[in-house]
Amino acid sequence: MSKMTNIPAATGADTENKSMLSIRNLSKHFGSVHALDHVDLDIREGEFFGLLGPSGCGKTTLLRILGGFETPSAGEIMIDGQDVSHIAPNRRPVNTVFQSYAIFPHLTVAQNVAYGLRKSGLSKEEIAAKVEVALQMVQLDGYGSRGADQLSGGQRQRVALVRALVKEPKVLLLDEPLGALDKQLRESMQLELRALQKRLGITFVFVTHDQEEALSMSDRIAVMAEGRVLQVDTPRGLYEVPASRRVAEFIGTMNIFEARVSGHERTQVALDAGPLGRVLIEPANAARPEIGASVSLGVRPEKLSITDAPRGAGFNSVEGRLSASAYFGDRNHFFVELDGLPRPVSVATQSDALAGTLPGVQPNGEAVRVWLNWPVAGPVLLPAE
Amino acid sequence: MRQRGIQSWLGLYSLLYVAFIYVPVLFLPLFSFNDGIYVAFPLKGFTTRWYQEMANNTALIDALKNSVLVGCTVAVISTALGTLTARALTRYRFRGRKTIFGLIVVPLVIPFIIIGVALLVLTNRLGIEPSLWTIGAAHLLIATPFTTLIMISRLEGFDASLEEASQDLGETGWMTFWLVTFPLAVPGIVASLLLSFTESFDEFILAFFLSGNEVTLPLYIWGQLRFPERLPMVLALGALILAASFVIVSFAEWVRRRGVNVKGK
Amino acid sequence: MENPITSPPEPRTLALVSKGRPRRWRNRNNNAYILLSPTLFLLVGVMCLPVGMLVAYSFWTQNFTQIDTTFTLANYAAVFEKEIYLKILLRSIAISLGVTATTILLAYPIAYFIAFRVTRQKMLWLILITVPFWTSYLLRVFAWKVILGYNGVINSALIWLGLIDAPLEFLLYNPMAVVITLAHAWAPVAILPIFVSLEKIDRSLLEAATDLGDTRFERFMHITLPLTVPGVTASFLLVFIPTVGDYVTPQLVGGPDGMMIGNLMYTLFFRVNNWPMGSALAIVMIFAITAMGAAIWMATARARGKVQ
Repeated sequence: MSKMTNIPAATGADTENKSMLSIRNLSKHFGSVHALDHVDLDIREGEFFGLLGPSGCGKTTLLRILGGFETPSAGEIMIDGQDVSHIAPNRRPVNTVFQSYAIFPHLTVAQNVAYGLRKSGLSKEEIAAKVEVALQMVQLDGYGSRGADQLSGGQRQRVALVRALVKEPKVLLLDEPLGALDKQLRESMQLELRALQKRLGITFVFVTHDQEEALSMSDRIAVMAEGRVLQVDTPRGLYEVPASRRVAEFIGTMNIFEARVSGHERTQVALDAGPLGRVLIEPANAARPEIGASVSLGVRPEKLSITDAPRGAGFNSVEGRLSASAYFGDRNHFFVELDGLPRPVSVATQSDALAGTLPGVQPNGEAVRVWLNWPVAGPVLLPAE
Repeated sequence: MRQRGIQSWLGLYSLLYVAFIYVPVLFLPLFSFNDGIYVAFPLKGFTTRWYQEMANNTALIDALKNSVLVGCTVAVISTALGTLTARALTRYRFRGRKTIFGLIVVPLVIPFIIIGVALLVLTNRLGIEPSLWTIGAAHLLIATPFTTLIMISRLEGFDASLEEASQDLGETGWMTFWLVTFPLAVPGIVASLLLSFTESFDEFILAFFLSGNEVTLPLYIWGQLRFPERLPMVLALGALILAASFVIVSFAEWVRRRGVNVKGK
Repeated sequence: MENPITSPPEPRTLALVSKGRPRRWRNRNNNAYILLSPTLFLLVGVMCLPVGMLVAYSFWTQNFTQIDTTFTLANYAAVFEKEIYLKILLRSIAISLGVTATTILLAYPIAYFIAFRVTRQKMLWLILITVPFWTSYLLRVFAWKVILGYNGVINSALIWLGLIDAPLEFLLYNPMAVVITLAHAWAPVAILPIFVSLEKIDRSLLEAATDLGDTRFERFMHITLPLTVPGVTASFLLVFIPTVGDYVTPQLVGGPDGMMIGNLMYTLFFRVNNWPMGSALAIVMIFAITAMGAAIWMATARARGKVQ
């Protein structure tokens, strides 16, 4: 029986790899503003780790502290066992890819990439060789002698990437690396970045506010808000088993209903869910709150289905009115209103079959009455907030 | 963590630099109250008689009047020209725009002595006698590029759609100018007037080459420099001019820079 | 922010004509010329024509009070043959270079200070520094004459404090006094272009350099300094060009050793009364300044182009 707390349970994570980056009790204030509040985080070697959250949640501050551009007000950072909390950025085994890419405009591409190698003790030929290999890695071979001010946005991003990677850091930090790119470029770069990371085996930590990007690229994600970590889990874990209402609403869309626990039945929980009536749930997060507790019931739109009669066993059903629909090409969204609910329920389905049979509003002006179904197994129970 | 602000070597250097700029000049007012003819330490006591001597000096007062006259004339005309020019350059695309802009900026980079002798040569050839007019014309030449640049930076940030909206609502071009453009351009105009006045008022070398019988204040000062007993009075005059210029220019700069943040948006 | 002196503003509206527009729009471009005409008239009348006349004079000769307008190159020949002209011209250029170098070296650190170390009162610092430039140049030079003089501030103070017995004579009436005075006079102005250049630097470039291993000094040499080449070039030209032809400072504090070409021109025009010779000298001076300015401009063009 787990109590309803905020401590997430990591699901399906690989616990064999050692911890590369340990953040303990990290806090940072700017005057009276708490940018980071007692953050604890463990990032494993070779992980592609995402820091996700809305603006102002502290993710960028955290990244900058990791890079050494801000000092923490409290707490410590260990990289591969070494305490780096107070080491200057130019001496940490960490490199950053900046949001603006920060390509030096007065140098050539090759000079940019070689910039960090000047003090490495390598000969000029060795450096040139490394630069060439690096450029090949991102399909920019031959661009070495080009002036950095002549590159496109995507090219600059790649130069920034290999400029940092060529120093073989233990951790690579990326600040909104794909934010400035247009949609198509962004999607192809997401795949490229992930492939590159897997090939190199270097630990990547990146910051983004785009949850789809985080979900598609990361091995694990830390969802942050107001300077705290809300949950750390794999993308699937965050989506299927969010630990709190906030995380649930931040990742994808979630229908949330208020309910009260009315009973337990083996692995299932019975709820009194107001307009939804009596509902039986086998929670995905194995929650088992006490009888009488207030909870939030969360159901993803794609788990819901619309029929003209209750689906029967294994499903909860309630009658409602179809109020609107939206077409997104690859899927349809339907909105079902129920008496007593402040907002309509969002239903997503790929089936086109419904579109024809449910025109929305009948000729007599009344909305079509439908049955809303969702399976017993699948929804999550979250603490009421 | 390196120190920010004043408490650092760089900050110390900067303070010294500012001191370096101001201190030599501050000796003038210092010794203008000194009860002695020589500008030398030790100080001999406080007096204001040099200032009183100034007030009784008719030649000085005439020169002052001339300077004010030329200065005001130059200020008004150069500001007007600067505004018109700035408007042409910021509102319209036309052939030769870049060349004309370059031409307008040229007086800023020509050494004044060249302008002085060139004008001297031309006026002499044309039989024009050097006078306050010739001085004024020269001052106009060097002031207009400044006022133009000031007005350009003022008008450039100006949202063209404001004027179009006004015209859309029925105002003629002229009224639009008065009701919409002008009020927003006022800080630039004020700064232009003040700065061009000051430049003309303090200007020496062009006046030196182009003056006739009537002198401006800097020329008067120059003439007094060879009389040691007049020195303290010159210091007093200089101190007053410096103080007045400082106040005027500070105000003008403040107006100009403040105005830059206020757009019609 | 583009350099406001070398590039014209971009017009906010296009006053171009297309066939479908109503008739009254067709003359809009002419409005620009109408607005510009007084200023153009001023420029032509008070700058172009006079300089043209100056050029003309340089090819003529002076016979007491009359001007002989037969074309001759004798004046230019004199400039290059008579030792004094070239000597003074070269000395003027040398002094000017000294002044420019001094002002830039002194101005750079404070421009850096205001750009990087001052957060909230940048405007205050800038105004404080530039305002003195707008006050009477004559008085500022005169202040130095009074400071460096035989019975001046420095000497009298040192004697009064008992540090020396007799006044120092080497302070005034030499090229060094000229350099000090001019550097002081132009110090306020040299800061501005350098400051603008420093402000424009994207701060993330500096963080990237640090991230890649640079110490603060290395970062300054490799990133900051190269990126300020446009500003330093502008400062250079801003100070160099006017100081070559300066008259007041050498006259008041230069003495015979510190005489510069401006003084020579004054002598030719007002003492010797040889206007054609003075004109020729003026033209030669213009050429020298333009040539050097152009040389600097082109030498830094590539470096500047990459940054701007």
